[in-house]
Amino acid sequence: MIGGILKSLGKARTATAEGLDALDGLREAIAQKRMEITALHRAPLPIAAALARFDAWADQHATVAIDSLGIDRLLDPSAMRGIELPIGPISANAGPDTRPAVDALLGLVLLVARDQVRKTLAGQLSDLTAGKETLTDAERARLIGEVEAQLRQAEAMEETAVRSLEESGVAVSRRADADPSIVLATNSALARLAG
Amino acid sequence: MPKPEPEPEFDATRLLSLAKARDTRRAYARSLAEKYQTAREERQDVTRRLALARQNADLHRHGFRAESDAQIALLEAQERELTSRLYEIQAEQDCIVGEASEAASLFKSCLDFAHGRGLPIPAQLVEQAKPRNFAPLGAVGGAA
Repeated sequence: MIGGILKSLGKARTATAEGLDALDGLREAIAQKRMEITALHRAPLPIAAALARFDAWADQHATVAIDSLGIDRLLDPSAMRGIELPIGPISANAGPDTRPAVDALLGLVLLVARDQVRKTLAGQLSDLTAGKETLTDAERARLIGEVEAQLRQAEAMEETAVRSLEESGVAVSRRADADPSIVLATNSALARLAG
Repeated sequence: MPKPEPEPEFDATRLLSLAKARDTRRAYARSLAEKYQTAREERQDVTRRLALARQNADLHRHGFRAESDAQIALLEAQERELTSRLYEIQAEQDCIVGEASEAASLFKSCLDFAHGRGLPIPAQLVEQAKPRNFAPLGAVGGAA
């Protein structure tokens, strides 16, 4: 009889150890999924998308530059001055604000040498992204959605394991950052999520 | 035929087990603090007795030497044992305080979630779930 009790105690101990091991494994998987999501958020855009951003930026600077020069003065027969680089208001402490003039010059440079700048940037961007996975916004959203679903499933499995250990009398600490929608889920909802 | 009620997704009574986990850990942390205090006082007592024993050993350097040496050795061993016990309690305390704080933080986020979803908060937790309003200074005592 004592042998039987010892045997079932041994079995219970093994089951608890297995449950705790499984929980550790799930927590590692959760940490892994979170890292995957962070990596997906940080994955660079493809070079084409980056150059499209450059184009939009260059367009805006060139437009602002031309608008800031006061070219209408060239049409004014009574104008005393030609076009000028814009200088901001002069402050007593810091002197004249040259930022608008610098912006205008940058816009003019982009207007005349945009293709060369673009080509140089494309080469640099290609070096920066060498060996890295690039993602468009749509690809990023799709992949993040997929990994988030896997994360949610792993979290549901973790909560299932915690409840099962608790039912067998083993006190297990939940993660402080556990998702409340999982922790408060009914058993049936949890089973659906865990799949 | 009436449509069956959709199955509830959440069970706010689970907050009770979260509150219990938090309270158990807090209580254990408190008991460890008391244990630490007791061990510290014991060690202070042993240290005092040890100093006294060393003084006495100096006084009767020739007679009772063996006895006082044995007493000093015993007290030194006790002091070492108590010091190591204090370290153990402290390590356990660090661990359980962390666990208690995590359990409290999880309980709070689940309680907020339950509030946000309009879930019925278990009666035992209603008091804890109330938002804490602090009366402005001077407001205590009611209106004149």
